[in-house]
Amino acid sequence: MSEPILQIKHLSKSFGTHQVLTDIDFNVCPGDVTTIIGASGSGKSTLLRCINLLEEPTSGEILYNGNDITAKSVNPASYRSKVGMVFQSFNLFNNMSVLKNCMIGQTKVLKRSKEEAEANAMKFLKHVGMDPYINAKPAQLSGGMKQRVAIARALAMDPEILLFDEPTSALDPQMVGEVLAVMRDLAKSGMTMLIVTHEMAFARDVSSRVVFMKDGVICEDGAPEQLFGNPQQEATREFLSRFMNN
Amino acid sequence: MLKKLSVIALVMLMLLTCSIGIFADEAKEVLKVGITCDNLPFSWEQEADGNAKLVKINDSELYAYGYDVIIANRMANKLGYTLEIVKLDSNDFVNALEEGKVDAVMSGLVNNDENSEKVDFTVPFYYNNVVTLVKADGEYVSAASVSDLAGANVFVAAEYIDCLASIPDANAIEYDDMSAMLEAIVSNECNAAIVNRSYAKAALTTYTELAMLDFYGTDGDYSVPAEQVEICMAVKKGNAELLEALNVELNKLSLGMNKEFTFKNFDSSMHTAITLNPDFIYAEPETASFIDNIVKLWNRFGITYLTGAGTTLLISVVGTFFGCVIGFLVGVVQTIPVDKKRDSLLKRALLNVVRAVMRAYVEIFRGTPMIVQAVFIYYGAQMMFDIKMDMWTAAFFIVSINTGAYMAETVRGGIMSIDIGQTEGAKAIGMTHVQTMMSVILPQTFRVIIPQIGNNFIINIKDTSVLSVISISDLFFSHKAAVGALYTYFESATIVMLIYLTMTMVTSVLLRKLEKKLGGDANYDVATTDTLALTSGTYNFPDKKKTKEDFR
Ligand SMILES: Nc1ncnc2c1ncn2[C@@H]1O[C@H](COP(=O)(O)OP(=O)(O)OP(=O)(O)O)[C@@H](O)[C@H]1O
Ligand SMILES: [Mg+2]
Repeated sequence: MSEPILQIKHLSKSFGTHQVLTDIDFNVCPGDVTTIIGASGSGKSTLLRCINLLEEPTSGEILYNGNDITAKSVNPASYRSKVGMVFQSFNLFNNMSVLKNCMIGQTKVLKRSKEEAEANAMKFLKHVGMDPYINAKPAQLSGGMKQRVAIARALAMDPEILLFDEPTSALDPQMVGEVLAVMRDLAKSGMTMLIVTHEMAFARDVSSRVVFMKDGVICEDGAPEQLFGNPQQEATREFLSRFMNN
Repeated sequence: MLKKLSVIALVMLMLLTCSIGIFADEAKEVLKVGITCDNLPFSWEQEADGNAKLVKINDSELYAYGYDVIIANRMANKLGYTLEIVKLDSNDFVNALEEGKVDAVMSGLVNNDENSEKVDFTVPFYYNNVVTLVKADGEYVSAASVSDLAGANVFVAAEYIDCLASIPDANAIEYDDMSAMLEAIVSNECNAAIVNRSYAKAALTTYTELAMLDFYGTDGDYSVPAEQVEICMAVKKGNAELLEALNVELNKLSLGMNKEFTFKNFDSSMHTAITLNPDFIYAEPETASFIDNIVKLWNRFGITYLTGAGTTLLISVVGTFFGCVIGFLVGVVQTIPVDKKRDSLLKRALLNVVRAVMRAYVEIFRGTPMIVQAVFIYYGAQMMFDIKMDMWTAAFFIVSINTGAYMAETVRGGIMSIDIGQTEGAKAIGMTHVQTMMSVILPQTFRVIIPQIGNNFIINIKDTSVLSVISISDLFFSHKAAVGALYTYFESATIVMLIYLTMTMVTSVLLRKLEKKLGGDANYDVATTDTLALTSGTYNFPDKKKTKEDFR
């Protein structure tokens, strides 16, 4: 097994007195597709946001390729340029066209030339099937389209790992499929992904590993067959059965 | 008995003589004289009030009096006529003479070349020359010529506005009404008033503290065309007999223009007229129709108004532009996020100080009227720092800094109104705060606050009017200049209102076009009210604005 790309060690996070994450420990290796499941409010988003430094961890370490990125000396912006993130609410730039959305990070952050950035953007937009819409503004797109553009925008930065925070939760059911299909493709291509999702079938099919969180701690983790087929913890069973019944 | 008889006979004889005299009077020829009856103190009409000097107007219940009537009466008496007064518009004078409706007309026809071809003018029966009213115990009372009035604060009656040029370093001041002007001379606020003789004489009857300076006939007089000074009667062209007779009698009054003698005679008759109607010193000079006055104002001051409007626009555009620049700078600095872990203590302390200064700036300039700021800055810079700003610099500076204070809050509110997801999306691809602001947040903020920028521009168009306190000649100033000369307040205000309204409405339409052009994207929440700008309290972007939604 190769060196983990991401190592989370004793990560805790509290908002004031409200402890949201407690002593989280886990690793992500290159090529891993890790899904995080858990009830609403269990701290999944907070964990992802800590990994991306959108939240400052209260204690613990996050090692990225062996370096602690919570250290004072680390520049969050240049770290984030290597870690892509896809949000539930898409967060496409409203003042830019689809193409521009996928180019701005490349030109401003990676200092790529306009031509290179455009070629790269087009490559990934084609990949997610959004190349016919390069001149559209986000407001003109459906939710599924927006999310596919958001994925292309993240990919265009050539990230070493991609974080997804419930990418399909804001979508109408008929659009969920198109986004999951793109993600499935990505997983197959060997992209390292960390996915927070409520799509259990997708998690079971695609992940190499599933993490179940409850009340800010990792309750159980393991291979999908094991976690879904034979959960060890009572809480996991309860969560899954509640989920399946819904 | 005989004695008694002789007394009776004498009485009878006297009665007879009298009655013959009466009959003879009735047989006297009539002199019909046209007067306008609306030119105080030369002529007016009124009801009978027991004064025997009043003369009944032909075909009217009313009586006429005034300087014209005094002179007309004297002429009729001396020439042995019975006087009849015919009320005429001065525009009808020439026709009435030609048709024989009247034999002579009094004041109202200017003795110029054009009129001389149509009628024959007598020698003057009044010299309404330009004189100067000063305070009797003031410093200018000894002035012997116009140049001795150098440096004075002077009021100039509208029709003599050209006389201003002959006074060195004169400081022209305007008054809303004539009695205010006269009071101002009494209180030394105004040093001199340039008015005509008849007006001055009237003023002196009420304001005994004043004195009249008369430079007429000297080299040091105002230069006014003779036709404006010399008031003449006129007769039908070719009526040499009457003309000659009138001139003989009039020359007796003036001794062929012996200055002292003439003015003594004329002034005493004028005094008689004035004392019968002293109110005239408060009267408005003329009452033309609303439209006439507008046309007149526009013909004379159109360029002044337009230049004023140009000044107003220029200051508003420049002020709004730099106000926006200031507003964006302050708004951006106010929303810089602080990273407690990575930012140095120095940077954070510095940022806090800068923010405190900016908050003070915003509060001070939003919390005080611009008119006070203008005076404070303009004179303050002079007093405290010995900086003599020219008024343009001062105007641009004041409007910019005032607009900036409002725009700062607008921009801050605008930035805060942009969905936090926009910032997080930018952060997630590694953009720095500056990059995020420049490429993502500020363009959207700008779009959102366009209506506010427009509002500020419109407010500036209106509010620059207060800059007249530092002598900026904007549109409102042009109004004051115009009414100072012509006293047509309502008419001038109407013109100025229309110009202001045109400017603001055109701006509104253009702004709406601009908004449309920038695209009414559904994703933009356009801020149309001031609520954005009213959000107060120090705000650390973006932490405090987070809602639960954003953390899912
Ligand atoms: N900035 C914050 N301040 C205070 N409390 C917060 C903040 N962000 C998150 N929380 C709290 O932390 C807890 C975990 O939130 P989080 O969004 O991570 O849950 P989640 O597992 O992602 O839930 P969901 O499935 O609904 O997205 C919640 O109770 C939430 O209220
Ligand atoms: Mg969440």
